[in-house]
Amino acid sequence: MRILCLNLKQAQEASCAEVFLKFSPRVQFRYPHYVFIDIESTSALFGGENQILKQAVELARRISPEATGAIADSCSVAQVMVNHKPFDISKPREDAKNIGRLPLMALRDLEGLEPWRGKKGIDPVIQFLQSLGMDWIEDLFHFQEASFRERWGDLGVTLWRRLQGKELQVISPLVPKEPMMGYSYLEDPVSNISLLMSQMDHVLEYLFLRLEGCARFARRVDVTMLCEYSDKKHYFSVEPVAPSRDLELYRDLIIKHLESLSLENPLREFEIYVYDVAEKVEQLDFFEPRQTTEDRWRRLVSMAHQAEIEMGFLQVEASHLPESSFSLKSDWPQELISKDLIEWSEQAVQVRAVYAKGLAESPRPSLLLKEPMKLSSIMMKRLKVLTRFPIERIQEAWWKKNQERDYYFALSNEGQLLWVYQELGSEKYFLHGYFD
Amino acid sequence: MKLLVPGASYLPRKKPFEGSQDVSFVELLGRSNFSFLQGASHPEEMVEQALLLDYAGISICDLNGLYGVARGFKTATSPSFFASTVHVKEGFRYRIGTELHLTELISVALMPLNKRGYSRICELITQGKRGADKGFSKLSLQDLLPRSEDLLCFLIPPFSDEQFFELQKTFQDRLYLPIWRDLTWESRCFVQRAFELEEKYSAQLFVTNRPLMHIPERKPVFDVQTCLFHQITLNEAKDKLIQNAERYLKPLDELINLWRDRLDLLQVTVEIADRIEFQLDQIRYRYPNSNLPSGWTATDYLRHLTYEGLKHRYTDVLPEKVIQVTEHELKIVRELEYEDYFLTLYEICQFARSQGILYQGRGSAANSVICYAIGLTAVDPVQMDLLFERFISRERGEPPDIDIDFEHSRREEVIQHIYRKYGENHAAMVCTVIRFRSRMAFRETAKVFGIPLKTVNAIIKFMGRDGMRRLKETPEIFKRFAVDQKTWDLTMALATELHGFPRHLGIHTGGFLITQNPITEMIPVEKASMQGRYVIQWNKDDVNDLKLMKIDVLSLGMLTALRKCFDLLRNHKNMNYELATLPPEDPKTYDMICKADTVGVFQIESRAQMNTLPRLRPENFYDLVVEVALVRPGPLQGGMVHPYLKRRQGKEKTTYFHKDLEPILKKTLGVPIFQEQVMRIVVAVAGFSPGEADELRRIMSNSWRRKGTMEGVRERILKGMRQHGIEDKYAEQIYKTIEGFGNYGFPESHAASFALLTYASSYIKCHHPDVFACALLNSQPMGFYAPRVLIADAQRHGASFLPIDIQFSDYDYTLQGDSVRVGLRALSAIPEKLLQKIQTDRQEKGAFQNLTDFIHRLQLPKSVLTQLAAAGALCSFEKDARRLIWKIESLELQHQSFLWGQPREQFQDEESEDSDQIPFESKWEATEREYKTKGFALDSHPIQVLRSWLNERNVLYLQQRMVPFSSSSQLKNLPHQRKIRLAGLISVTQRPPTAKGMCFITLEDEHGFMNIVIHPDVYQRDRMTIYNSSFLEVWGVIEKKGTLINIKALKLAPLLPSKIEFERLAPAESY
Repeated sequence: MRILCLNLKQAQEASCAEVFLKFSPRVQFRYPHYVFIDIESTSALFGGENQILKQAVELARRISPEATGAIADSCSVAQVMVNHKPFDISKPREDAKNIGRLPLMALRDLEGLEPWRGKKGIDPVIQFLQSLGMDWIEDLFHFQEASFRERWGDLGVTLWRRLQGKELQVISPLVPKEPMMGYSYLEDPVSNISLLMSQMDHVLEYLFLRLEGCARFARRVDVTMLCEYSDKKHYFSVEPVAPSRDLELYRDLIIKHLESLSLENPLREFEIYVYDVAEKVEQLDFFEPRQTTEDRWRRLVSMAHQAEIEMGFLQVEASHLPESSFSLKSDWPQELISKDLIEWSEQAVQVRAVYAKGLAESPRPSLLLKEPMKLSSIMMKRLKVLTRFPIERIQEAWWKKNQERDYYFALSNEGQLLWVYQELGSEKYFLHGYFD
Repeated sequence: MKLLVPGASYLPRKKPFEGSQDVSFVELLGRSNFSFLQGASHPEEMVEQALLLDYAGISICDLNGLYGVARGFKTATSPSFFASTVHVKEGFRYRIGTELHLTELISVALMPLNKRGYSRICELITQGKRGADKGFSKLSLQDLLPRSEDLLCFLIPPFSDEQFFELQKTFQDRLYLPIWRDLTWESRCFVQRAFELEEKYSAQLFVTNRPLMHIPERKPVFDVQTCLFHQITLNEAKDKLIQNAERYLKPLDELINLWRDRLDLLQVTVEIADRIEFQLDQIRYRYPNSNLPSGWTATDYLRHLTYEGLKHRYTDVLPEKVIQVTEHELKIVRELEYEDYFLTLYEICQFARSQGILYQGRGSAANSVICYAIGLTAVDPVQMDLLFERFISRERGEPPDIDIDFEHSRREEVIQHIYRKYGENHAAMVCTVIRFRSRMAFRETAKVFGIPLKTVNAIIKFMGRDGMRRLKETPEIFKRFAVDQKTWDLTMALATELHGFPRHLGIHTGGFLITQNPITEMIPVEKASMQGRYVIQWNKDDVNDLKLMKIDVLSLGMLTALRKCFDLLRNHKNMNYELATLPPEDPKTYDMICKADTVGVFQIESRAQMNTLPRLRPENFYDLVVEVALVRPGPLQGGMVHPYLKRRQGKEKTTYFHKDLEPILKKTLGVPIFQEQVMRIVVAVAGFSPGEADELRRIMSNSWRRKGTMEGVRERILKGMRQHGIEDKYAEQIYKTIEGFGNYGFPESHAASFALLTYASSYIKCHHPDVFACALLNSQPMGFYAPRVLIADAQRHGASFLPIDIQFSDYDYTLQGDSVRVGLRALSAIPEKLLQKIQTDRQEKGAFQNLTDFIHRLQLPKSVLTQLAAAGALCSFEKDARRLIWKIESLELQHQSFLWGQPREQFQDEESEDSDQIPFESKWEATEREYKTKGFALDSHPIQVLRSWLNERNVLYLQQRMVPFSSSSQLKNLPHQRKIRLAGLISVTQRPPTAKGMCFITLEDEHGFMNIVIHPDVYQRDRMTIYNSSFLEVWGVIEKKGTLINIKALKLAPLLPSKIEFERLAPAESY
């Protein structure tokens, strides 16, 4: 048996094995970052062991730039070599000679498809042998199997067999069944689109490599993003006219969506889901029934966005400032709940006050001006302010731009009830809306 | 940085109208930051602001507790002498209450009309808090209504008819509805609703600001707190934040303007406040009646115990002065009715004595002859000329504070005794208020501003121990962390404001409050985070301010060690010593101390203390007292150490800034060293009254109080000194001394108590090094040094050690003949239970026949057996540790075998056929193996093993005309300023915050210690070497001062070569 072992260096998902299906149907992933490929019968198709190793490493480096590879007779020795003698190809039946002058710590990698079991795996054995003054793997070749069995039972026997190349680890054909999904937790949360895209590119490329490995196409891509310090979620989906494996096309569509979002907090996590199909099929008709009404609305909004039409759902926001108390969202709007947060713990209560929950009940004009209109002193004289004190005082977002306003009801000469405000600390008045 | 413009939120001023001048107002719903993240001002600030605005009174009414009321009370009734703002106002109504969140999801505020009402509130809060997690309350209307008597109830809006009727049925005319106008639509609706209830049902209303802060400028801080409470950022907070900054203490004219339609509702607040008779000073604290023998009164019994004790202390006739002082003390104690307090402590100490637990009083209690006589302290205050008034003073009217140290390993027994004797209802521990410190304040504020967590962590790391100061002092630091300037400025400003705010309650190290009546009648009690412990809602300062008596049950490792010393001396050397009966003023002991030969000795074993000893050269007990007090951060920062040492050595003349200082500072050569001296200085030359001096002491001992008051203190001192004709430059110098003193200076009595333990430990180390080492090793972990250092030190003093051996070693180190047998406890990686099992089995069934017998009898896990073999503890069975380990590894002993009680092991004590393959063990490897398992090797020091290799390197160095390695024994023969190269094992690394970036390392070789001094530039360059290596090569210069030898390091490098090179250079045969 000839085994090509790839070390991807960073922890990967099991699905990464799908990428290497083009080299052999017998591919197996082993946590955290090893891929074993049985090349016994396929290496000749790629021009020999040297060529297949080169191509496999090249492909692996698109997933992980530091990836390395090696070839040996058994999976366990191939793993030792990929870590301690990367890019080396062991001659058939010379595995023991190849690893004999490696330090004892290399035994940690003598695993292959089955890692060392137990809390610390092989470490206690290594420490034990080191405590007795042994340093090299070849020091162990003199011992009998019985000594190993006596001391470490099954573990000792496995170790002895792996050292002697007598353990058989068979790689079965891989049937892809992992969902086409990519997730990323950003160590440095970002709110800048280009930075975010550079993170997404990595995930997208990985998903599209998998598609290629499995010979499938993407019908639709859903993107969900979570903010740092909150549960705030952004969601959108892109769906080209026909299924495709064109990464650039999907990339452009995603950028367009991202540009339409207002990101209040930096993003910490995102998830990309690819709906894959076996081959290119025609897109379904728009009027064909979809799963839910919400889906259809979402799709309509998505289509409008792709045509650069401003369209969305009206989301009521619990904001102090009237002009930012609603927003246009791509996603289905959520109901605004404004009340104290009550937490229970074994019949005991903790109240987390929502101090401005009354905002939801506060009177707001039926017509709000997009930009407040400055009122001259002459215009103000024509109005009759109805209350001695402000109806409301709003002091908001001092950490951005201090917005301090006193709102009043006022009557115009025509009897129209108006909503005017005065900026605190100045004499300036503004008209902000009309009541019915 | 001002975040809101002061005054910007004030309403437009209107002309006062007739009659409005007579309106008074009391804020009845004042909330402080003791509502934990739901209030943005300290209670002191709330009260001071109410006084400033000319309110008729204020009530502190925090959420679910009475945490802040004592602080408010202190500000309203007896503010600091050094406060720069408002002082006490006659007739000012300070009231207290609490706002409770009930499980029916309504909120009510309760205020006690009288003392009974106060007790009810305490019980209610306790009930709500006792069974609930932190921040939660478990109190329902059904709990409240039966205890409604003597309470005023304010129903917090929103109001409903049902709630109003239900409460009115119970509270009747004691129910009020608070209303406020904070320019929100919600408050308009509340007011409207309240007017309806007034009209329909004659509900009683009153006006409040419903304040969350004392000034509107605190809104940003409040918003940050709100975000922390909800765990969200400012950008997300939205309606969770208050709508505006109107919830503060408004000026009276503004309130009148706002409520000109209902001025009667302002006036009614005064009427409500006047209904309340209760004041916090009405809490009558009753100490538990002591268990008196029948026929005795507490006074007589204390007198009897005192004189009996004195007879024991002074074996001859009682000196006249002692009788005078005793009578004086007894008289004051009787007048102040403190007898029960002394007798309670006496009872606790008697319990400790009966259990063989060593204890000693510390702090100001050592000023008292009574404490000395009844055995609470061990220092004779008459002989030491200590002043009783420093402990208890009639004028000060403050409760006495007796802190008692017990053995650290057995303090829990004393605590459990107190709980058993007085019960959970009469004894509870004092809390400590955990506050936002620099790093926490910055971290939390930064999170609220949405600065990425990774950046926040990097900034916190950058702050280090210097806190915010480092950020403030580094120009344009925000650029380094890629934070925009506005966000940075706001974060810094708000973190600074948040610094010092209370975060939650913790448990005090040992402060107990014990009461005659149930404690919950006096103070609310709540669950502490430690299982089974409860804390009161006040900390030690609050307890002091309200003149309640607490006792401190503290712990000290050295007491454990000394008790073990006394036991060993009694059992093995037939010497019956106690702390008080050790031979005093032993010259040999002082000689040892003068040589700084004090490893393991209490208080004087640190590097700084050891450096001072040869210069100070203590010759008697008082010198030790000075030594203990001198090398403390206070005197160090105050720059007192060097002047004192110079004067002591006669290199500098003793002078005084002022003639009045001479009697105060004469004992300490004109240099203030003790806390009392600082107090007496300000009285003598700054015109402080005793009350002011005492306030200064309390400020100095509390870092949070210091924060805001030190400027006031400075002004007061400078002014006082000017009046005494002291020039400003000297006055500033004295102030700096006082400022540096802080809370790190010892009172003389406290230093004396500690010095006694120093003397006792020195005496035993000097005369019985084996006993001292044995006891100290049995009391680990404690002190500065690791067991290997203590053992090596004891060996250098002639103590011999026997190796660890399961046939002879107990769990503890023991004296066997003239030697110390290493105890099994040295194997710290093996659980104590298993090690105890070895000792018990051997004592019950006799010595182990052979290895098989040992394995069969104890059924220890294989890993433990291997560790025992590696440590050499099985050397009775097999000398070659490697062969033994190889053999043990083949043992088929599974965990199941000893769970079932039927061992399956087939261990045969036979040679395995492969054992010849095991490599030979070199001396270095053997030493390494022993260090790994025990932390020391008895018969060889690692540097001793390396010495021949070092000598080989020396040959090379000499050929190249380079400085060769020297050992610690050669240092005294080398001249000052000689370049030197040293090799050693690191014993202790210290980098005290007071040392201005200096680092001190104590290196050790087979002959002794070497003191390495590392200047900041070298430290910064080589710090990774210091923290990553155990063995160091130091290249430096010898600095000699008298007998003191330091090495100023110029370069540090790891000593050990790679293993392969080392094996080549130091093969096994060389040893």
